Amino acid sequence: MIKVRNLTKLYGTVKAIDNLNFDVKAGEIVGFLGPNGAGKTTTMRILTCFMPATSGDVQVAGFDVFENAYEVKKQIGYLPEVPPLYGEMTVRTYLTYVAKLKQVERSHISQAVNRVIERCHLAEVQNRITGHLSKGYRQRVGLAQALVHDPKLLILDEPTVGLDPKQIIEIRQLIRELSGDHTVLLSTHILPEVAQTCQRIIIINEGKIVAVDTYAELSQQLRKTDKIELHLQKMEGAISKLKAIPGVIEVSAIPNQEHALLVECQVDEAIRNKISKTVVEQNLGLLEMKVQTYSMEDVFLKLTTDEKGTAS
Amino acid sequence: MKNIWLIAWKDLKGYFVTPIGYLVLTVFTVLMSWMFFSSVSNVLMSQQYGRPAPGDLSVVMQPVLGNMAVIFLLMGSLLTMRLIAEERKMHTLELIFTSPLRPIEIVFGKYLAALLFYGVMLAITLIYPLILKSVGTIHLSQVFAGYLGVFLLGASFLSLGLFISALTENQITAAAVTFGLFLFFWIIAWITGPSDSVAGKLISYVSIIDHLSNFIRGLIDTQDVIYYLSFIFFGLFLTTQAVESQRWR
Repeated sequence: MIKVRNLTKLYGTVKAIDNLNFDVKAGEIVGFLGPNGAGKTTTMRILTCFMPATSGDVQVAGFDVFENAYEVKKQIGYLPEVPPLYGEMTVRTYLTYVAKLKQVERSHISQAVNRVIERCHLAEVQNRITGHLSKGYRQRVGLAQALVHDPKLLILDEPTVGLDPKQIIEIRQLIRELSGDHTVLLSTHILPEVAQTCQRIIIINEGKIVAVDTYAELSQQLRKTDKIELHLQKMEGAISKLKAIPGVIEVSAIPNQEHALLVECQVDEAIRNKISKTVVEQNLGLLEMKVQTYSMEDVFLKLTTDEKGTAS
Repeated sequence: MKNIWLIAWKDLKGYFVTPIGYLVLTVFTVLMSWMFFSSVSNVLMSQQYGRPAPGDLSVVMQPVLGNMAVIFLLMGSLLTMRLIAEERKMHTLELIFTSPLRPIEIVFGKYLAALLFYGVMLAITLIYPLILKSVGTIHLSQVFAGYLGVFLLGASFLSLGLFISALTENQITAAAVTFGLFLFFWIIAWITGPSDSVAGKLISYVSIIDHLSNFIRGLIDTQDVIYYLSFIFFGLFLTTQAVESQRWR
């Protein structure tokens, strides 16, 4: 559905995105994850033909975004960062206007509008002026606007920003329901969001893709080493003894915690066993030993700070 | 064409969601009516001093048409300031530019909205020649030529105003700059030197007001028509370039 090759965009001399390559298959929900300013919005604006790229090729549904923008635009429903609402229109007139803009056939317009009003739970506000709506409703009208012409591809720029937790759950539920007949590319800087809604994740930082994979694969890949937290009564000689164990890579004191050590070792239960044995044999007074697990936040932090720029 | 009309209709309605549409229509009509009556009373006065009654009442309309152009100079920027600036400010530019429309359709649609509104403003004043026709003889073709001139002049202003609106997201900035430029094109001929010098001819040609006088006297000169049409074309061309180029940056 989306094919991006060597995509680069310069703002003046600043590289907003740098040589991006990725694919999105039809029917997938893909999360575009990165900190603010990573280049998510820029990439989405290029995909939606709002902005041309400096160099590189982008194909959406087989059409080139630069040469065949008209066809591409027909395939895409786009929710920008700020929902593009005309504050003076009611929800229904606005959605009808967008349907016309998106070239929905005249005879299907009211049907299409009714469908998205129902789908985005807008029935009770359909005759209200969009300018008077709360942030949550505005966001939903924005989503309805992106869906009104039943596009093959949905591009959603931070769809859950500014919503309360209940609304966030609803929107995520809605997005999940869309998979299958729609392809969805959504951006976010909130980690649980991608873990919950997306089948695949593209992590981007400073304009470069850091990783593309499923959530499970990403957390797996990261566990090239185990991190073990040790709390001991006696610290004398502990570091050197632990470092002597084959397979242990690094031993360091945990800052701001007394008698606590962080042992980084290869992923192997035998090594963990040896560590505990050593601690007991040396009579260091073992109080606690636990393996640190990676949360999604760690995946993200690790990918965007430690391994900056090395695509895996 | 359908798309142009879609944009135009939305923006035309847009004039009436804020007071601006009603305000412009009201102020324009009141001022123009005052000017019409003062022009009528001037003619009546001169008759009291023994001048013969004009055989053709279109002379009553001549100063009215001239003033109409001045009033529109003062108000025209109110019609265009919002058109593109507001879309940018409300982020709806992203919506229309990611919809299957060509940029030129968007620009034409917005221009058409302003032009239609302006057409309505002028149409209201058609009541004056009709009043004159009911009380005496009037050569409507002469009045028509005058209206054509005022319409073309206003249309030129609107194309310039649309261009300025495409450059900013602030309506007030758009209005102020547009007004300044209108005024400049108006007064540019004030420094005209000897009219036979090249510079003098050039300035006189560029001056937007010099082309109006023939129309108001009832003469349609193709040179004047071409001047206004090329002004409009240039304004719309620049607008299209401006909205396109913003996406390139």
